[in-house]
Amino acid sequence: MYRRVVLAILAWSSLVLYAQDIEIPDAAQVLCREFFERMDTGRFRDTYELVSPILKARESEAAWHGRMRTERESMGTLGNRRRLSVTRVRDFAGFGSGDYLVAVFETDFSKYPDVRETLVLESNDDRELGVVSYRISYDMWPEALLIIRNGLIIVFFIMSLLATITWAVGKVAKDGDGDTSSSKNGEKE
Amino acid sequence: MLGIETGLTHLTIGHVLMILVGLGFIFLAIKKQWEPYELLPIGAGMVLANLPLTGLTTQPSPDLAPGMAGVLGIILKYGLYTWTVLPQFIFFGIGALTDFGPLIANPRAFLLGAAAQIGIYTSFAGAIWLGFNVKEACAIGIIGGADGPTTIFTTGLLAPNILGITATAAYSYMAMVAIIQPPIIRALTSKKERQLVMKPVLRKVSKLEKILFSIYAPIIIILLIPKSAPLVGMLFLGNLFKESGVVERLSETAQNELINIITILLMLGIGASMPADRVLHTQTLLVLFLGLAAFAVGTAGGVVLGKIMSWLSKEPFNPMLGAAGVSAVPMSARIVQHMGQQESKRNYLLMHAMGANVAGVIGSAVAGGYFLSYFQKLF
Repeated sequence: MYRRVVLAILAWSSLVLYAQDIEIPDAAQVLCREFFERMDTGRFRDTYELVSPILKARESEAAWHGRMRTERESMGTLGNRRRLSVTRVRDFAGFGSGDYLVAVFETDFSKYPDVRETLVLESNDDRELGVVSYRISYDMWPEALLIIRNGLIIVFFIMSLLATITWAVGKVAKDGDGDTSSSKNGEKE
Repeated sequence: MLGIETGLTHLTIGHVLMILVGLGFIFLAIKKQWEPYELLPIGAGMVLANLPLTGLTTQPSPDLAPGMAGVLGIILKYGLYTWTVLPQFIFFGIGALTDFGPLIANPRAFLLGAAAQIGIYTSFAGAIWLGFNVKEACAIGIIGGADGPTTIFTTGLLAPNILGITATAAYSYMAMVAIIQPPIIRALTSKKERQLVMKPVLRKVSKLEKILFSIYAPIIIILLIPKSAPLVGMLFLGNLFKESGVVERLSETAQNELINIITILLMLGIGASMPADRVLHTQTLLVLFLGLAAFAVGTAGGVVLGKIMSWLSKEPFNPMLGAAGVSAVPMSARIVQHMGQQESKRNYLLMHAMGANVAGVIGSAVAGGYFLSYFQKLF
């Protein structure tokens, strides 16, 4: 029993040590810098050159470009980017076992201050690095609720306004018809 | 052996699956006649885009040698992704085909067209909750408007990575209106409410009123939401051609040849925007689910407002009309008419429902325009 507890503690501590921040290797640092430079200058399509072959095998350039553009374009210009952590993991969702570096950055963009950027790099058997994932995350709910509230207000406001104007125009048109017909009747009389 | 590289060695399971889905669409279009004008070219586009090494979907770019871009790639780039001209021309044709008379005769229907957009925002919230980013959530939500061109236009600009799947979802759910809407309408209304007989005839709307409507409506909407101009402007331009009566040949062209040509290009493009690597993700299932939820909630939103209007109205007002507030024209209106007839043979709801239906077209264009305007300030 005692041996099992010790083994479990050792296993747990090795996992903790393993998941702890590591120094980012030079090659990874260069790749991150290159990737962000292209993203920040709107060269989303060019980032495909930095993508790992395992991702290239499953995602075309057009698909990658579309995703990167959607992800980054509305963030605005880069204000400040600070590396928060770099961890090495053996398994990354959807890509199976391998050697991955997960780099998390705290970034201020002009339109969205205080977001997290997560860049995942894969090191292949030849020790070459390539990007396998890039995501921007932030608390989207305040913005989402604003869009919902304003969207509903504007849709109902415009439709009510159109209903009122259309009703008023219709009333004028009907009254006009009534006047015309009554004056015609008057002429007959 | 043949001295050329065949596609067979590059064919993946993903390609095969997508080719089968494309063939399924073609089958549904031909055999079941489900939205054949949309599903047949979409299916064909999917099959062509998933055959390896064809280069058909290669998009033009400055780095590419002349003549190397594929025809589907050209449609995708200029029609859908970069210039997004095709949905706008479809709206032009729809405008030339639409009679806003029932809406002008009964302006209350505008409110039903607004209420049915609730599905858009509900699904938008659902997409955020499921981890999509804000722009993708907008594109997914807009499926709930049941308006193909608006969905394509909004997604093409905000989230081109999910364009194919949102467009297909929008058109598929439009094809399934008869399956999706009746249970929701029945669940939210009593038999007595469904039996409410309305005046079958709406007042006659003059030509002048229709012309004025096609002028002041777009001006008001575009002044308030400038980014809705590509859709709303084109919709009412087409309608002005029709109602003015002075450019009959142009109106005829917009209603027939033009809309047919654009439909071919647009639907082929939608099909071609679905290569296996873009579609075969769990994300796709989530988009389909959220789109369905949006459509269902939109229908429910319309019916609930219909009930409120029925309680407040002095004259009989059938709450089923709210379901026609989604812009699946004219399918939703026909469903309401059919259900009304099932409940009472004296009930002729079609013209009332058409008013709500065309209000839905305007409502979804307004909702899409709002999304675009919101992000425009961010670019």
